[in-house]
Amino acid sequence: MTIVQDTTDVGQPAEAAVTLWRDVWMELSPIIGAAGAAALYERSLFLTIAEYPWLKSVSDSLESGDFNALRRELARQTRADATAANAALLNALAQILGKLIGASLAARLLQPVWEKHGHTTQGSSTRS
Amino acid sequence: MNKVRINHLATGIPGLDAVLGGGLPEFSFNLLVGPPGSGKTTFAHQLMFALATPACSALYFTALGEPPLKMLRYQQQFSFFDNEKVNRSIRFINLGEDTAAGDTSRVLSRIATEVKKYSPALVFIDSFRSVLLASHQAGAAINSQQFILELGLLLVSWNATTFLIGEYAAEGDSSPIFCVADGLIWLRQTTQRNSIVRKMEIVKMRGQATLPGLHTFRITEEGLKVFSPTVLPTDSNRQQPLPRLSMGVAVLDEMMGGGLPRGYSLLVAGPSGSGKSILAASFLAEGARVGETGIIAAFEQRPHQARGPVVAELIASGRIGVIDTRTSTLSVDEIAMLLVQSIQRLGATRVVIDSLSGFELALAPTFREDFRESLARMLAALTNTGVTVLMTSELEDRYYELGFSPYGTAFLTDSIIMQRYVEIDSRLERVMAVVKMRASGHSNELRLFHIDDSGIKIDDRLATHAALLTGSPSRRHRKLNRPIAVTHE
Repeated sequence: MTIVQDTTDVGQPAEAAVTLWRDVWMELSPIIGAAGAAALYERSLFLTIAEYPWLKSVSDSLESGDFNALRRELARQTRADATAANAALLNALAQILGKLIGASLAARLLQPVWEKHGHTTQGSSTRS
Repeated sequence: MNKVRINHLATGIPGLDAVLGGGLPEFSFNLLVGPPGSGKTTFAHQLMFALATPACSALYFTALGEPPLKMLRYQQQFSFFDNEKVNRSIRFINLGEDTAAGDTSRVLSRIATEVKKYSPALVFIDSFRSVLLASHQAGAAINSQQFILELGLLLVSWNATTFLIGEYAAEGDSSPIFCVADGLIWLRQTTQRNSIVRKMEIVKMRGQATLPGLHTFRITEEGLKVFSPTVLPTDSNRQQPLPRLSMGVAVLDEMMGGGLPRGYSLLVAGPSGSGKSILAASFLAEGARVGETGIIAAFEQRPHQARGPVVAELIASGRIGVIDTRTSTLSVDEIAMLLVQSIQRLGATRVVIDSLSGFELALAPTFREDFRESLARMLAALTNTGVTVLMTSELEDRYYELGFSPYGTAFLTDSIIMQRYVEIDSRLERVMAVVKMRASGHSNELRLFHIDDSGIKIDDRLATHAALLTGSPSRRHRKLNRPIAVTHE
């Protein structure tokens, strides 16, 4: 599953990203617990740092459900970089979740977020 | 005054409704307990996915036990897990943080909030034991019974059928909270030698008569399957006298007083290689010839190979069904269920169990102690429906005693045919006799027989010899004049 971010109306990428992540948090943490959601976020950061090393400072100052560190760092980047890095981060999360519980169920859990933020998913699901 | 009628829900777990005594009472507050790995979470999920619909939604609360991600990962391996139902008719809610705070009133309040939000018809809390343990560890002075009681009141008032799932290691691990529940279901698993056997007990289910005792169940990719004791409708149209079935060996039919009465159980006992399976094959082939369908429950030989081309062909054409199993984790009830399903599916009237020794080996060690009792129950259930059962039993030839079965199963059967080896003129010959035929006359002859390409051929009585059953008969010098006796039990 690949998340394709609709870049036509991102506005402030940092603000948009945090709103989106909070919605992800709202969807996932009631189901898999705050600790479970935080672990997924951390792992997503870890995987994305290879491509965007500046995300390192975000993972060093993590707080559960609070994406202020991410907002700060994204705000320092160019619009294009911030948007690309955030898309990579979301993709990483969707990939990890998909690996654990299957792409189909992962897509189902995150569907309300994508719908709200005008994102689409690409790729095939393993279970329907 | 109209009395309340309790609606019963079909659980979707094969065999469970029968064990529960007719399904799960609606709005009941149940505890599902057992040691780790006993199948509690799978039980709950299977039931939930079977019952949940958008109009009858389910909330599955998880608390500190198995991480929800893992639970979702592994439960998806079962065929009943339907992704489409998640977030539509089924919602998973994690109580991790509320539980970790160690405050049961916070947990209760969170559950109440979610229940008000979604108005579920089904509620699961996995595990409530974690909630109680976390509170104890946090030093909270809570009363477990009070917590469960309040939870019960809340959920009943919201008309939710509820399952609280908890790890309890042993049966002696009783708790006052067990009194609060309407239903208490224990899941257990025992290990003996290399076999693991899962058992379920409905300790209580208010308002209905459950099947007492331990019921074995199996977990496959389809989920749980419970094996309830075989209860079959009795054949009320049983004709009297019972019609006789041919064994496919005319002389043997005569020796049996005209064949084997329908609905009888027959034990064919004899040493290895004496021709028991061939007689069983003849019994099935004869049934097929007259339009009956048969079933072989084979526990040893390859059923297609050992019984000759006729039976192999009948198996291939579906006239004879085969239950072929060589595992060592079965229970008699499970085998009985396999038999009953095949009997009903094929409309079978002749059943062969070949052999009892293999049957016993296929059972998990823990069931071998109750072998006779379970076998008696199964035989009674099968023969009451009018099915005729032939069982073979392998015996070592002991010439100093006349035994028919190593399990004392001989008394369970309506009739017995014995096969033995005897030494005559430096040849190992076979003899056969009808030993028992309940409520029927039968021959008391000990007849030589041989096996050729077309099956069993009964030869003459060996009147010229005496002491056949010693295995080494001696030649008589005086000719017997006594007529062939026919005894009647």
